[in-house]
Amino acid sequence: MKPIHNARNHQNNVQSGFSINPYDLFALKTICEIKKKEEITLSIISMGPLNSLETLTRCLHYGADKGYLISDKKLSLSDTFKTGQVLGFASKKCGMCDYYIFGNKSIDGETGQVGIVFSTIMDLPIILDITHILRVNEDGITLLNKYGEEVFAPLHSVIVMSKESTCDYLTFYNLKKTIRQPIVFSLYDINYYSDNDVRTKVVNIKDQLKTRYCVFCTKEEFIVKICNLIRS
Amino acid sequence: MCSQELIVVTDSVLTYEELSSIKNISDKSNTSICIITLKKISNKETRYEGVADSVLWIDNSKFTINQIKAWLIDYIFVSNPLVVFFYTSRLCNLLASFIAAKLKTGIIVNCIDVEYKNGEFLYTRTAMNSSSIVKIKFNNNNTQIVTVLSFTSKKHNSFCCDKKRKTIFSNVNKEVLCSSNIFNNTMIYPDKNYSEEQFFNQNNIYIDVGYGAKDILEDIYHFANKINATIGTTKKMVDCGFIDEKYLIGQSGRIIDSRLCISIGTSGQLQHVVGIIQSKTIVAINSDPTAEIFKYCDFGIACRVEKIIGELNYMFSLMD
Repeated sequence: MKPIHNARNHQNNVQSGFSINPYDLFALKTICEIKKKEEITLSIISMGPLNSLETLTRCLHYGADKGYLISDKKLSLSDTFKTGQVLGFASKKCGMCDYYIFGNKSIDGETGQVGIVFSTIMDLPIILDITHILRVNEDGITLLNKYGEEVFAPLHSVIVMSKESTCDYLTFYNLKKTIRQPIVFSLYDINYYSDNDVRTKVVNIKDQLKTRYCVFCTKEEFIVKICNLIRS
Repeated sequence: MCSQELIVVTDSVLTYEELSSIKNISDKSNTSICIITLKKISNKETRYEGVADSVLWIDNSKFTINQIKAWLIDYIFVSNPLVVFFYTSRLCNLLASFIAAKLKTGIIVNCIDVEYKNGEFLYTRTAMNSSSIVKIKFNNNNTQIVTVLSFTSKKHNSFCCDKKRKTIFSNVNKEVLCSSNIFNNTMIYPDKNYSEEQFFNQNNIYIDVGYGAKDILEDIYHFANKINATIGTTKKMVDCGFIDEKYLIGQSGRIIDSRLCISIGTSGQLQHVVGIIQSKTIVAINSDPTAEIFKYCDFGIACRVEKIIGELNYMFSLMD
């Protein structure tokens, strides 16, 4: 769940000020498509303030079976390491799964580290840069990565999806059929007691890139100017 | 005598500019420099002499990523350096992420600048879809793992090496590398050779090609050859397979600071603009006069890109 930022408008959930990360949304939609054909259980685990609960409910509308939100005051200013740790503890609490699927990166920090931290903590193999799920068998899943290569994911592995979907559109049918609500856990509930797991700290944020004043030229002026610049 | 170490991991040969930045940071923080090159290099790579205290090289074509990763984890764990800089390439990014997770050090990715103030490092990177510049520091005294796009904001006018500094070159061979077995959690990835050439040279002119110019790529390459410019591109062009990923400019690619950047057919999305904004002069050609790129350029023209490129090619062929 990510705060909606002006630079990137998503269609969803503007009232709550949170949106589903587009990479996670793509993963969610892909799994929900598979869920129509295969008998699987899909759980969503997210970390964020209670305001983002509405967005997690939206994931349930899409077709997820269970939703868990880890919300605690101690989670403010978490970095990627802490996020990975907390999600690891939460997934142990929610029961071990066959596959853990992550979006490639968030739309604010854009670090792409959480899946890797999670896989290391859980000691699971990780498969990166996945754009499609090709086949689902009993032994595992065959995936396609962004380089066009097929990769086989054995049971109990972490898959990182690197394709995004910004079109968050729910049908009335989806909205009507979901009656489930997400479950909220605190850090205490997931047996996470460490206080000093934040490794990095933001000390200063400056907004915006400096804009320049563009002089529009005619074709002739432009050619002369650019030729002079290249030759100088 | 430097008490702590600064390790630089790269899979290409570092440029003089990059070496100047590293040496500057090392001098300020009183650290020794160890360069680990994931590429076969000559033992007489002169640019490293007098800059680095030691240079280790691994021929990455002979080992898998998991083997290199395991050895690096061992090496960093044992040597306990102050900072490890990974110069951004796909391989280095992956290694940095896994090593930081395994050693529980935390990581700061895609830094564009580093400062050393009052005994601590401050790292600058973009965030919030590139609309903000953020300064981050590490919270603890562990080894700091950082991936670096480029340290370009502070120029070091001359490249000076310390002739007293003796650089020791050594090769990490198979026996040493394969003895590391600490890392159990594997990365499943089709094995391929990741060695990349130093594709971004020191040219002063960049031609930044966007999706709007996808139909005239040949003409643009021809023009780039004529003026000896380097090609850069946007994520959309890479995603659509028009240009290779190694030419990507922007938040997920390179940051450039050229004398002249000619942006052709780019819309001006922030995550891309952050990669070219440090250029001295930015020129934009785009058919849409309301395109965002015109907010970030010095002069531009709103007209069909093929007309202008055709004209420029004609002009320069006359000059030949």
